[in-house]
Amino acid sequence: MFLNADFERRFDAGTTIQVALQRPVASFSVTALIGPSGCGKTTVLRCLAGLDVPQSGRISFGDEVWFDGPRNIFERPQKRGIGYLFQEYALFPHLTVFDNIAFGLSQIEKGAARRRIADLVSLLQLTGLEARYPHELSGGQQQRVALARTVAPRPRLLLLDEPLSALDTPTRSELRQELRRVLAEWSIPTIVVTHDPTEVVALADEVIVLFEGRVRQHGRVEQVFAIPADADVARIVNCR
Amino acid sequence: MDWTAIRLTLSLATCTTAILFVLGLPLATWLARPGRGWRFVVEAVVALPLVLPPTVLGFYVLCATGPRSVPGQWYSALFGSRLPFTFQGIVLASVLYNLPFAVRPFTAALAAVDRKLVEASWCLGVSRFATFRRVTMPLAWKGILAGLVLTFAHAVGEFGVVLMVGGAIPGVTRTLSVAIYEDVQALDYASANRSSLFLLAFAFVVLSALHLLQRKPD
Repeated sequence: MFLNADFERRFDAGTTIQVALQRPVASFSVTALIGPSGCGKTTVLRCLAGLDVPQSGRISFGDEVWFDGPRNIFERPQKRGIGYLFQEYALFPHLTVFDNIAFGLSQIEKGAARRRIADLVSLLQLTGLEARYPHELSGGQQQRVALARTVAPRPRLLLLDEPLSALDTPTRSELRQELRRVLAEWSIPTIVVTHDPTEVVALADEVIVLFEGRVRQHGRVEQVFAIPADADVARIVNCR
Repeated sequence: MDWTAIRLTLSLATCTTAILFVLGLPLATWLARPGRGWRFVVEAVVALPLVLPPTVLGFYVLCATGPRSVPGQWYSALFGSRLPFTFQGIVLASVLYNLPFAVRPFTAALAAVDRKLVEASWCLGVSRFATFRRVTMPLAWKGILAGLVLTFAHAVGEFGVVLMVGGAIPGVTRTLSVAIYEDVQALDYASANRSSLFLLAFAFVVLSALHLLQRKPD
């Protein structure tokens, strides 16, 4: 079973993002999407989530068609069964930590939802913070709450947009290892957007290098880092 | 105190506010969505009453709902009565005239809700309507309430458009501000003064409440 995406997203300002990628989604793997700011990483993620609509192309997940330009098919984000972690976390400011995590569980029986939340709270070390509001948390705690909220409904594909960029350096390096551990524990195929090569090495198995709206190189992390396809890729994966 | 006029004025303001809550909120939701297109035309139409003299709007409502007009004939066929010089007629005129006082604050309040929060809710499988109820409304309610208060207060002071469409029929279309105008015409300054004081106190209380509502916590 594969996630297949081959689409074009054009912006009024003249930029065009043209991406073709295929990722297996039946088993766990983390794919990093790396590139400099403005190269279209987030746009790719948003198109996969259904938050942005490409002008042409096709996106499918297994035998489900999520987007098909010529056939005018567009599946809403609600129906895609994905989990999306926003760069600034987008926690609901009017809800407590518990209610934030429970937000996507309204279709699930209450007892089961409570057990699932308790498991996540303990796994992500949020015990004792359940009654707090997002503004009463540190950056690292907010990140963990957002992660718990994203995985609580058990998505089939995780999309993480710069999950560590809003944190200070010590917290970032601490959470980098932890993130890989919890992702492996949940075993949900993940695509993570980043501009930081250190994050690619720590988190991902595969890497897709984006430059000026196009895929420049795609392969195993060690392979791409050892033999970059061209000077641009070398600069993206080596510079810190 | 002219209690008939006060009752009628409060009924008019309540009906106007309720109708604009139901119709204005979906319109504001559409206007607050990102995008361009022809939206500016709708925005201009909504804002028209801010610059248009009430008499102009009243004149057109009168023409559009009169017995010779197509909408007027439809209304007569459906309800067996006319719109001009009736309570329903002044409600229609008041709704049109108060459109910007409701829709503009609604739009501002809805647009101020971070789009990412709405998208986060969608990605958690929550429908558009449930997202509106669970995310947008709890975060925008202060602005929406401010719009409702402003609409109510403005509708209480309605004069020109009511006089044009409804005239001054006691108990039917003679609102408090029309009553004041008539009292002055009849040199009954004592009655005009009582009604004016009532409206002044009302406006002061409403505006104080509005500012209290919009005050940021320390």
